[in-house]
Amino acid sequence: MRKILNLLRLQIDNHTDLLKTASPRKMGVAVCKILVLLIAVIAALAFAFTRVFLLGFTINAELIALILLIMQAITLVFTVGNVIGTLYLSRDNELLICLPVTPNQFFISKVLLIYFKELAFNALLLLPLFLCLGVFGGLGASYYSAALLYLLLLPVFPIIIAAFLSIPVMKILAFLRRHTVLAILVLLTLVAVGLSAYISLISAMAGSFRIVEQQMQVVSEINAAVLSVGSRVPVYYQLAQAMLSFSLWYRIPLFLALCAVLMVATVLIIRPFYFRIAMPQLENRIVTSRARRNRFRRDIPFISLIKKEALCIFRSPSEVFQYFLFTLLMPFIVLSYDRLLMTVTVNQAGENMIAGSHVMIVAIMAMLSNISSASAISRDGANFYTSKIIPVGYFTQVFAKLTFNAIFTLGALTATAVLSCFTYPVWQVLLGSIAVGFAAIGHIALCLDMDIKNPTVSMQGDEESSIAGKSTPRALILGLVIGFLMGLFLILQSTAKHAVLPYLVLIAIALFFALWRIWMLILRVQLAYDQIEM
Amino acid sequence: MLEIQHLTKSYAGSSVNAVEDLSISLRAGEIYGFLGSNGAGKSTTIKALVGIHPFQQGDILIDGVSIKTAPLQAKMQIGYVSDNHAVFERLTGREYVTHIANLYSVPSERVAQRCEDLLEIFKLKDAFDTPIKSYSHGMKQKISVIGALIHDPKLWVLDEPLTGLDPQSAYQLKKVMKRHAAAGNTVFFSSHILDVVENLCNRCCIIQKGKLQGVYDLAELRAEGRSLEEIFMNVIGETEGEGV
Repeated sequence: MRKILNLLRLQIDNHTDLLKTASPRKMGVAVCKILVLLIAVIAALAFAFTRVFLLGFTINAELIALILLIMQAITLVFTVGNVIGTLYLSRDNELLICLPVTPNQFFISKVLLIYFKELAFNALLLLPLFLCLGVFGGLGASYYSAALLYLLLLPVFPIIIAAFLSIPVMKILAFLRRHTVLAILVLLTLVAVGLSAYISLISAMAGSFRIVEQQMQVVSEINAAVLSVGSRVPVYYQLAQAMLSFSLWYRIPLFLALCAVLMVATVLIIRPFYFRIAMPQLENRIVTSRARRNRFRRDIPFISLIKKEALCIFRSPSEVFQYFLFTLLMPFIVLSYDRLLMTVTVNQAGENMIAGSHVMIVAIMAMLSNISSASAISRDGANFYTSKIIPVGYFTQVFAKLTFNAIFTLGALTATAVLSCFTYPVWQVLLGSIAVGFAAIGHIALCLDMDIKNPTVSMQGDEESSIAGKSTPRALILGLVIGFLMGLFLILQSTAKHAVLPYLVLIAIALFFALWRIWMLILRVQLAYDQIEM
Repeated sequence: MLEIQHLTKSYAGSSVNAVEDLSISLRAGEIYGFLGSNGAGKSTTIKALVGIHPFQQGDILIDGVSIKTAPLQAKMQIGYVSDNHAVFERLTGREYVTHIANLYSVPSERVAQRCEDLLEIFKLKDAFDTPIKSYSHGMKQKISVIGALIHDPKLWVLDEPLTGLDPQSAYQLKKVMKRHAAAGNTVFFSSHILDVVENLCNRCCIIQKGKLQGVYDLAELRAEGRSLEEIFMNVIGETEGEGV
């Protein structure tokens, strides 16, 4: 048992500073971060609940049962990732398996780590949720006591389901790894389907809540539906009822026993499969190459640099997802957002405001598409030395990275503009897109500038460097601010006499911004690159 | 071919010079060893030479071209193999070599010819079209060497090239180094394996605590019956004694 706990402690210390008793300062910082996050989530939920529950929703056992079921379903998605990441793909497997521990001890420590990660994740979501439900529902001691117990027990079900789901998912992942293009398409399709469902739901709700009389009717219908469906949710309805009455608390030990039995059964069933699937992940993959013609394609250095960027990024589905998700989905997201906006009936000034909102969302999406540039230099990691030894000017190299990002952002912007022409006047779309295009180029230059000022290039491996890129959060915030301000400017100018003038002013400002940032980049590159040491 | 003139380099935030007033001169057609214990300043010197690190004083001339005033022109003459053999692992060997060749503006026919030759020597033909990520340590080293030689540089610089190589790979690399020097080019490499330097190099120098301790002609040493190991231990021992 001690070895299992030691293994668990080792893995927890690798993830977080929460248990680093040797360094009280680090522990304190970790605890503070969690508390701040928890308070922020509680505040956000409380705000949302105030808006929702004042409309007349009833907090009862049926609603609690439905909420528990939905939360478990959402958690399940993340739990599958947690199980796969911790059990099969964790980099510490290679180290831990060499320690003097039995395979069972190793496996159980991994399962316990998964449980603690799920506990933390669930607590972050469920604790604020339970608190707000209890306060808004005026619920008693039984509810709060049961809620604390459920926090410990609820992670178990998703873990059990995820443990079984992870086996076929691992097979699919192994297949997709060998087919990168297919993997990217699958990822994008999943995100698109999810977004589509979300936007459709929001559209339906927006339509229903347009008029006050309709709101009351909708709330009644939802309350009735909750009563009908919630009472049929197995296990969770019984648990929800137990929360509201001490007399039904006998159900909790039964649930605990059920969890224990299922967990033990899962461990016994999954364990034999685990080592068969996990151990090959530690082996060097032998890649069989397809026969190619003996070809060496000659390109000028600038084009070769762009191609290299493309190959390095697009051969990793996770990097494509991380850096180009917003770029590739921009037309789709903007189109969905426009559909939502079109449900609002307005006068002429309102139409101009809606056009301004459209430009805001397009600009925000374009800026989000540029975030990869905030780690473009850091992403080279230990390979950064190549930038300094090759006979190619530093600005040419940086400009290649800027061009690479701009190709995708401007391409997505063009596709978005073409689709938007079916909803908005062509002149508005054209002028708005030009303004956003210039602003996007300026933002890319700004992102590169930030990364050059503060690169993280001494680490080994690509992923570690890009994860450690310090400039990404700041670039993200600045991008959001730029997009927001662009849209806000047009919204505030929506009553202007000449509707074209605000767009022309915005184009001028965006062009100035782009030229200014490119000039700053030119000035910075030579000096900054020289000073970067590795 | 290579002139390092009064090179002085210190790192940001440090008052100690990592390299101090270093001056050495290399001829065309020779293999020159750069010896020193760990932390002596070998890698710092090499990284200043190839343009990775800026330096405070002195100059470095490659075939008469200053790395300070005409860096692009100077870098065109250099091929560099780093100590960590970092390469772009998501590229295949072919893509990596093609990319490097394009950066040095090497014509396609020359690339094909040199690749054919080097792949044959290093026995890398089968792996050339597979991602570098799947390569072993030795294979990554070899593809790094091919990338460094694809433009036939006049000065080939290697930082601790034999570390971690199996005997066969080490033999292949030494063979290529001799061949490159025999063609009238210069090979400059750092090492702390004295036997290799003694057998491979024409001349060598020893650096300790950032300062040049001496330059030695290995043919002369052999003629005098002196061993490089003895000289190295005497030099290092003397300089460490000074610090006591």
